[in-house]
Amino acid sequence: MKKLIVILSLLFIGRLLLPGQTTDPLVTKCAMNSGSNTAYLKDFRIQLGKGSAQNELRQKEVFPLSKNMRYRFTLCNADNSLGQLIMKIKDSDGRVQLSTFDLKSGKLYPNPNPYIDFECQKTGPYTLYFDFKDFQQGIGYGIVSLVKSK
Amino acid sequence: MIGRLLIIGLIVILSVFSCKSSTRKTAEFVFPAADSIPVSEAEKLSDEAIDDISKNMSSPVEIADILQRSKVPYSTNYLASSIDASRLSTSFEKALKLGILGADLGYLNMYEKTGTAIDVLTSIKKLADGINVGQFFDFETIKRLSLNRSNLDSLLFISKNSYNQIDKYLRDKGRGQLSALMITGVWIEGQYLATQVLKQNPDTLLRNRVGEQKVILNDLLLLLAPYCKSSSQFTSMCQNMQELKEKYRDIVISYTVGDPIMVEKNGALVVKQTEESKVEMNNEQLVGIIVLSRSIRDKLILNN
Repeated sequence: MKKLIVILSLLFIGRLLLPGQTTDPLVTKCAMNSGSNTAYLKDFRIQLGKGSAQNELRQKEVFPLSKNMRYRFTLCNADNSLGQLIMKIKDSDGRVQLSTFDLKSGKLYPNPNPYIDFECQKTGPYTLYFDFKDFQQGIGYGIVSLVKSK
Repeated sequence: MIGRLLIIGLIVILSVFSCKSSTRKTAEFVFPAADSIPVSEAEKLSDEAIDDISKNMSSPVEIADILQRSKVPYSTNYLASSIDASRLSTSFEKALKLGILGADLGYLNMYEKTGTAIDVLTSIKKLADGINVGQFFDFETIKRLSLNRSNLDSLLFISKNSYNQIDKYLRDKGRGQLSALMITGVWIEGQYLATQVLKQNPDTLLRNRVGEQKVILNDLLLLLAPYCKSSSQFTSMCQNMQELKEKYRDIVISYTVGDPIMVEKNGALVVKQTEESKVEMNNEQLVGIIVLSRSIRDKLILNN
């Protein structure tokens, strides 16, 4: 909590000094939810309207993952989002490697941790699919971090 | 209790995935048949494809993590300290070196050398201003964070996030060539760091990481291809990268297919991948890559 207050304060001061800087406070908060001993790598902003039910999640992003690395995927919603942010990861051959939900049963990955870890054994590009549960509208961030070995 | 039940539920779900395929197949990564993709073809790449390729560059933070895992000590010798940001005149040089220094910043941050990072940050700020993207670099905040080691997580976040925003902005504004240069700079410096450390400290993990760059280099060349004839500096750099590609040509990267498994570790859900990539690279091939990687990087940073 203390860390969050410090970083939000510094970001606020920084914004006053440099008005052009555009870091969304939600992404900062989300990055801080990734836990200690992690190094932030990338964030993906997900902003979707209400959609009809379909086979695939609506937002697609590509990200490289490397062998022998442990990655943490942290998912955060804006307060006014109607559905919870969900994610699925496929490898370059389209094989599902990770899913934070089950469409049929409606089950989601466990709380209270807002993240799920992935121990990668195959270097290459992966496709990250995002959406909000039940194809609801919402705003959120998916953050990729490296779980540091030290 | 509910959390535990959900974990069990997900383990069951992943078990279903596991049942889909129990056989392990292998595949190999090879460069495209043509030695290089014709510029006309590369220019046809969709914005989405270019976007995907540019995102597909791994971070020097990961290389620094491998170095720490292998207990490789920090050394200033690996930094591009000869870069003088105030002497650079062209956008080409500024964008490329912005990438190189960004990789150095990642290395410094991972080793908690926040004091030295301020010097690098000063150069980064000059370069970012030089290509009109300084507004994304929250220099004052980063500098404040650098003064205290306890802010390391925040420092890593803000500095990496600034680079991500700059890259996105450049591509959104049709300045893709600068984005490509920045990405190339990050990659070259990361490659230099990995190969030079490997020369001094043989390490299997790092060796494999260098070999795996065959895949990344292929993507990087796709990203650079549309600009390779746009200036003499671009042409020269593209030629160098093609030479490096040749060094990688006979390295074999094979893949084994498998299904993920889920485990619970300290109350958190962890997915373990059983698919695997494997690198086959002999010492002669490795030496060739080490030597050429250094030559390319030194040429780029000394050419102030």
